[in-house]
Amino acid sequence: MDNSLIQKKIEKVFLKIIKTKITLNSNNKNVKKWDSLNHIKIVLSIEKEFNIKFALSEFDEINNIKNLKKLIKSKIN
Amino acid sequence: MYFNSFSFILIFLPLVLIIYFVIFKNFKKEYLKIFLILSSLFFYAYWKIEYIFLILFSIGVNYLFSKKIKENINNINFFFSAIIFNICILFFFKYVDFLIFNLNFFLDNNLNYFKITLPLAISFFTLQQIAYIVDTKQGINKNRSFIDYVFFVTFFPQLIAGPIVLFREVRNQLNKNSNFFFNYKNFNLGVLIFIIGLSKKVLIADPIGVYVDVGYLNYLEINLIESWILTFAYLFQLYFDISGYADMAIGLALLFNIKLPINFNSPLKQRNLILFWQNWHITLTRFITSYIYTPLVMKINLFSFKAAMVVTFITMTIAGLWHGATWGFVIFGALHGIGLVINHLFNRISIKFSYFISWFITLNYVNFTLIFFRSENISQSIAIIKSMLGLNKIVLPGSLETLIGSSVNKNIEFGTYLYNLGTDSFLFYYLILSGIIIFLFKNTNQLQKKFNGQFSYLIAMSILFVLNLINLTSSYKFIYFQF
Repeated sequence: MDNSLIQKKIEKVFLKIIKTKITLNSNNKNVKKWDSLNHIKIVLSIEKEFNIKFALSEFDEINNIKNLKKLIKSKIN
Repeated sequence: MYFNSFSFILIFLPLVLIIYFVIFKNFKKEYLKIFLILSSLFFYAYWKIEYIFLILFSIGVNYLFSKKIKENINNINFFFSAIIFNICILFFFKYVDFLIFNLNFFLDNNLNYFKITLPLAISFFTLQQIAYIVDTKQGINKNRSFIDYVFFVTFFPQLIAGPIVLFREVRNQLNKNSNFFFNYKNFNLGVLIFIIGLSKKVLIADPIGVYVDVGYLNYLEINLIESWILTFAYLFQLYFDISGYADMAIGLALLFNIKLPINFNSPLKQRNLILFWQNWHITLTRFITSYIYTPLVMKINLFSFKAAMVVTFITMTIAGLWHGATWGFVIFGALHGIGLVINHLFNRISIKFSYFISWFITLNYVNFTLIFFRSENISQSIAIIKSMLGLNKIVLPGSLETLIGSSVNKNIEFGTYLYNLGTDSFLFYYLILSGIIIFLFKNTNQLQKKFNGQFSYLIAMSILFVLNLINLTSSYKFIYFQF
């Protein structure tokens, strides 16, 4: 899956769950609605979108878009 | 053995370093790991030799379980057995007497107590191994060896009181050959962080702790000013004690080229309770979020705000109980649960205060919860809270008598107003000084980023080190050792 498609799908999930447009530099500190509950919703939605599964301890690593992309890439390839 | 003891700083640590980097210099890395494991076990056994068998038993059983879990990834029996095994060990050594106390108290029983000495580090190595078991079940930790696993649990810098490390954080570093050679830069940085941590403990937390102990003994006598100074003194003592310990752990690990995750990042500067927990005992917060909060929310499967708030409250109450087997710790956790729920509610309806006001409320709320954390029992907490509300005695400094006049209110006395803390105004000025360090200085993480072997740092560290040695007494244990 190419990079821009991954980015687009991620953006779609964030728009759906917290109605926020994210960029590559977004993280759970600078996105206001990205709290602990929405975090779980976002991660589960990403799992569905890409048909992958995250381990519980990976939830914590997904605190910014760069890490999220890295983790997604490691799982779909 | 404690980090703040002569036997550790002047004998154990130098010996281990010399053997590791000089005498065993050309040894294979597996032998070096085994040497550090043996050193760590010696470090642990130095305190109480019997419990060495407990930790080895726990490590052995967990490793075998993890092996079974890996081989039978779809069989959840091994996974649940492993989790129950860890909880049982923790429950027996830490909570069984608390259960008996409650049975005796509420059901009028007269059961005998087990009177077990809490094994050092048990709360920490149990959490690390639970995380390991869960991660293994979820397909993480694919590459591992028994030696790496034992190293991960026993590594002496983090063994006793954290940071609570994940296996993969350590394993990746153990696979790098260059990490087994002396690294000048890491070593310097490690020494710097260790000395900062040691100073927090020896030069700040311990001197304050002396008066906190006196104040808590005199809890029925303390007046309004004393009670406020006492509680803030404890807040500062606790912060310097456990963040100092974390610094020392991180510094020591760095001497061996192992980077541990940071555990404190100026929590007392934070403007709300959510941010407080994101910066206070960070690896504990990570554990309870990853392994309690998230699975509970997913299990309930409602994903509503209400459900999440209930889970937040439950999670924090469990986290409170993790600190120790008393109702005080349960209340401490529950109060933080309530505080976090209120914080989330405020965020949801967009209530916002200025930085100063929200910081002030947060700091005082944390300080309030710590009364339950420190008190021997609930009636002590209540007595202290009463004093803070001015319901006990109000004694103002004698110098104010001429200014205000004694006729204002009969309940107000004038005189030595810090008498019950066993001090004159020394503690007061000492707290102001510590407050300046907490609120205005850079924290250890920020300081180390600026460090590049500058001469000024070296001079400051040498002076601090000498001061530490002069004031070093092993009589003060770390607060987190009781957890």
